[in-house]
Amino acid sequence: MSLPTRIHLPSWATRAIAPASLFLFLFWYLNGPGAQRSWLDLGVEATYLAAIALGVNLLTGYTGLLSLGHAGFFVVGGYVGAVWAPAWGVSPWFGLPAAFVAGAAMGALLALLCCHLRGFYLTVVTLAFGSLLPALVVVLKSALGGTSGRNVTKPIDVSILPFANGDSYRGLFVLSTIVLFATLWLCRNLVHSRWGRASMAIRESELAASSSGVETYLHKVSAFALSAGIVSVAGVIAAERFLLVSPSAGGQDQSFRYVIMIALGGLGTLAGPIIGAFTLTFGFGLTWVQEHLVNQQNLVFGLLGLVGVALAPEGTMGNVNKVLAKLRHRQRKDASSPVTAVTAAAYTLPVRAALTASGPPALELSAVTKRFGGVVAVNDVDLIVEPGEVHGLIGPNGSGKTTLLNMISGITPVTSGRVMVMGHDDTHASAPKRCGRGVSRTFQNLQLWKKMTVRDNVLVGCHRNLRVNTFQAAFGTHGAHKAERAAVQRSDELLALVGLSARADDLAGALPFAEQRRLEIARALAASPSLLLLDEPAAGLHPSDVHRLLDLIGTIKASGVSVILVEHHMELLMAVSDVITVLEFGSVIAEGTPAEVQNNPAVVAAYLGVEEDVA
Amino acid sequence: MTDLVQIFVYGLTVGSVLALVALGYSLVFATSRVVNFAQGSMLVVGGFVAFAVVRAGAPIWLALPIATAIGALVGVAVHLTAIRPLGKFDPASSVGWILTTFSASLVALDLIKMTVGAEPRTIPSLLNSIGGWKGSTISGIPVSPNDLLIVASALALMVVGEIVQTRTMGGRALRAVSQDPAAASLMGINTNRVVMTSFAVAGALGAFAAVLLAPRLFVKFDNGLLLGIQAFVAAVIGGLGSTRGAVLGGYVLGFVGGILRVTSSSGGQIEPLVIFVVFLLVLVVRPNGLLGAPVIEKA
Amino acid sequence: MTEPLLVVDNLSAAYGPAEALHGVSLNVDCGEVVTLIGSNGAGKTTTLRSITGLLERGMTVSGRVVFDGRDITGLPAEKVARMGLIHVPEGRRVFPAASVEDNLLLGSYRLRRRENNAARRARVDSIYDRFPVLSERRGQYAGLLSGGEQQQLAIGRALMAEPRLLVLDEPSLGLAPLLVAAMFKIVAELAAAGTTILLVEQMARQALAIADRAYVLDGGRIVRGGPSAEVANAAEVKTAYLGVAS
Repeated sequence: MSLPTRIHLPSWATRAIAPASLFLFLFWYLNGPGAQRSWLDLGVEATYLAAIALGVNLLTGYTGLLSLGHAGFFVVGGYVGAVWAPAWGVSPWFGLPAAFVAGAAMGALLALLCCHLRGFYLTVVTLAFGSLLPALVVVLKSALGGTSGRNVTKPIDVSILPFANGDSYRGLFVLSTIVLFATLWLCRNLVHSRWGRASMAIRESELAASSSGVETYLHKVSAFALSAGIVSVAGVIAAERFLLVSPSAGGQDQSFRYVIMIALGGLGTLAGPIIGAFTLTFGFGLTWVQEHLVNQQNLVFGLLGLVGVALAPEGTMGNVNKVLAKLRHRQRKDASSPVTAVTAAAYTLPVRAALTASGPPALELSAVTKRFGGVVAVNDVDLIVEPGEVHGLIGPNGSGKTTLLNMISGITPVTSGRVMVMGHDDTHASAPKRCGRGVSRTFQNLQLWKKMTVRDNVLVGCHRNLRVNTFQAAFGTHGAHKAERAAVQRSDELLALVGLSARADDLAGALPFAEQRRLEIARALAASPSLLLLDEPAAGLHPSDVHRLLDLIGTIKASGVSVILVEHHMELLMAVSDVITVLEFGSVIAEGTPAEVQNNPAVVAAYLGVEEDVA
Repeated sequence: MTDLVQIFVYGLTVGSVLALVALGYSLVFATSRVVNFAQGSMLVVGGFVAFAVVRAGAPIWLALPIATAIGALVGVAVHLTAIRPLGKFDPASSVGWILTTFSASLVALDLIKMTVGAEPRTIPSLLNSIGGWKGSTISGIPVSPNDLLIVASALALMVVGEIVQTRTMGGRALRAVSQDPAAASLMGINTNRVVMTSFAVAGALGAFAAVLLAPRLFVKFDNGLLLGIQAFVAAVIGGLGSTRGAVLGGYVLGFVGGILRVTSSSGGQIEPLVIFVVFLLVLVVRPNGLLGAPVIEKA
Repeated sequence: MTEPLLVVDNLSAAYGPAEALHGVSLNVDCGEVVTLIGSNGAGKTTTLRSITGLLERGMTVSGRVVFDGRDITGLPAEKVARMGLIHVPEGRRVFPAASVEDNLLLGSYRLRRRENNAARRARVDSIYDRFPVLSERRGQYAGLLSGGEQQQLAIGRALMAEPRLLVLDEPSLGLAPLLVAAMFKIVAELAAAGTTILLVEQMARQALAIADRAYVLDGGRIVRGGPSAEVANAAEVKTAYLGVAS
């Protein structure tokens, strides 16, 4: 292996460059433009808006859920952290954690109500949540202070903070900066952990995420809670800034601004939200803008939204990252090195429990039926897959093969019948639960997470094996790092097995089709399955790739994993299957060894049409 | 008795207007599976344009068609600026269109602010007397000729809409696009044009409704947001994409508003709260609304 | 000899990075019935979609398609349909919440400016004569029809467009054996009446029985072409379907 001919900084140093420059900028700002009160005030706004943008980005950018109600949490944070908490007699400093907890709790509550909804229905509920505030103001007049809001009577004593020089305005800027850095640190840890990968997996394909063992509903709730908590803390700082909490700051146009800031800076990046918040806040601070556009802020944000989303859907940082990725790719090409492929002998697959021929079948379907409306897609199917067996499943288009796989992997509920996995009745278990039981799958029309790297795709596959909870991830504990390293090692081994080591850092969407197919298999294997479902893995492959696939299935079989193979590529299917089941119109019409099935008249008729018509 | 009359008058008039705006949401959703978040701003556009025309000295009868036409144009503009540039996209999984339609709404509202102003306005009633009848009070509740006009014209529009949808080739094309755009294009139907037409009709309906309602609720910016959201909720309750559902949802919310106002002094103010709860209930219990097509699971 | 009605030259198509067609060439003459057969996933539907412009998101097409002397490569589906190249798509795709009659009327959409109500009415009645079951169900929602009835409706709807070339994508798909036979009988009758047809089928034997010429598609390539009788006996057919040469 030859090393690329460029200077490598230690990884901690590369990671420190961006936050250090942000720190230096803010330090300069405090002592430069910040000497002027109005600019210092603008700096406070920019920093807490940046923290908000980072928080909302966890939800909208990484998890892919668009909220237009988060300004509501901003107001909630203000009331709880700056008005109510100090009124209970505790130090006003406790307002910050109190606001986080209250915001997160409300966020979780809202999420519990709406996270089963898809797409814009969820957005609409958040929008309605935002418009609740005016109504609440009327109902809870004494607590909320009506439309004019409540004054902050016991502000936090921020003048004692370092660099504040005893000045409370400077102190507020320092506090806001601290909150921004804490948020950035938290988000960075989360994004580069199991949590962040699961989020992005949900964003790119919720189906594949849940099949890989991610409890998608709970995960979305956690994303909602975290982002709401962060926005609430920012709400405390805003309250300290104005010494007033006003419900009018919770309107949809505010929520919309948060999203536009992130969208322009770059959804799903760490630098993007900060860049977006700073650019727009300081931009509106410019004298010219103040003179000419102060009453047309919505117009400006609206135009930015129209133009930005159409022209640069990935925002500023998205484009920067694209350029960086291109440069990196070129460098790697220069320094390309031969990849040492791991052979079957050198590597044993991680397999769940020891499977023995005497144990229960890997899968047992009894009288499984699926109806869609009046159409019977799968009719009374019995199927047994023995441990270590490759079980082929064929049938003409629309004969119910994929529906059957969906029922085995828990994506589609059965209408009637029983599904036993490894001897357990899993008829009503969800897809993530079945993944935990050892059922893994690939998809006919690839469900890779295209905007994640190849390695990250496999790492999400490890989701269930990587036992790190959200708190460990957020605070980057030692245990989290250790588990992460082990998972990375395993992913790299799996990538070597399918011959993708050289592409580990590329985006999955950039791979050629055949490699995407193999990546999906690697991802499925990462969950240490005992039963692997392959849905047309050879579709769209060139003959040479099919041979490679044949070898790979052989390796998988040799390690004791049972396989169900749905395939139209008959050569492949006949070569690797121990048993083949043939479906037509949702029913089993034949079952047997490849040779038996090939000569079964019913099968030939189903495939080629009825004999006598030609004569 | 008084209460009942009041509920009926409020429910029928406001319900009619909500039904018209909700129809706009449903129509656009039917053809494009997109919710036009700028639909509420059509109310503001319609009201303020009508005000500007009246201020310029024209009679209100002229202001109505002008405002309606401009509403249609704004609808087309929203389609051209917020939807078309996104190319082919899947509205169920992407969020860009939510941002762009919301953006378009902000732009439209600020443009009105810059040209006409932001203060609440009044415009004259379209109809002051019917054959000498200038309104009367039923059990102490005032009923004006304009109220009758609101209800009558809303009902007339719905009937016309129903006839167009079922009896004309254009209406059939619209239903074809809403059921299966790809198959519709195989019939030679230009789906893009059908979608644009639905945006135009939605804009026109919103503006028309705003002018009708002005004597009751004034012309103001809050109406856009408030009635816009209410009409959206109405469309969801009835089942997005179902035109009959939108009408039903509109009247349901109109009557809910009437009941709240009659039974509680702060009823109008807690209305958003009640609507939010109703809305959540519908989404949880029956996400496709009362008359929406049932979800057919796909293999 | 005049130019064929449809000429497809070196047509390739891909879904994102996945190439589905690799340089398919074929042609259809006026009055001819041509069938394109191949197993699942061979690229039959993709070929038809590429010809008639019914592209899915992320699908790209290259090559050349000429219909009636005009280059229609890359034209959107509605423009292709307006020229009289009528595509009956896989899975029938009737408008489920419109009545049978409305479905038929929508078929005549491309002729709406050229034809008065009486003429249209007469043609709808002629479709009812050909498919009596549709006549019985004229007021019902198309989504409530059985699979075989929906397939008749889809063909009837296409005939309402007065097709110059009728493209049928697996009319037998998902039909029970008896209905499959009935469907092929309908196609044979249309052919006998002089309709030019491009028939895509998985049921190779029945398709070959009614076609004048045939192409065999395997792995996105045409592996065999010629008169139906010759193709029927070619080894490529069984290889393509069952993975065995017999």
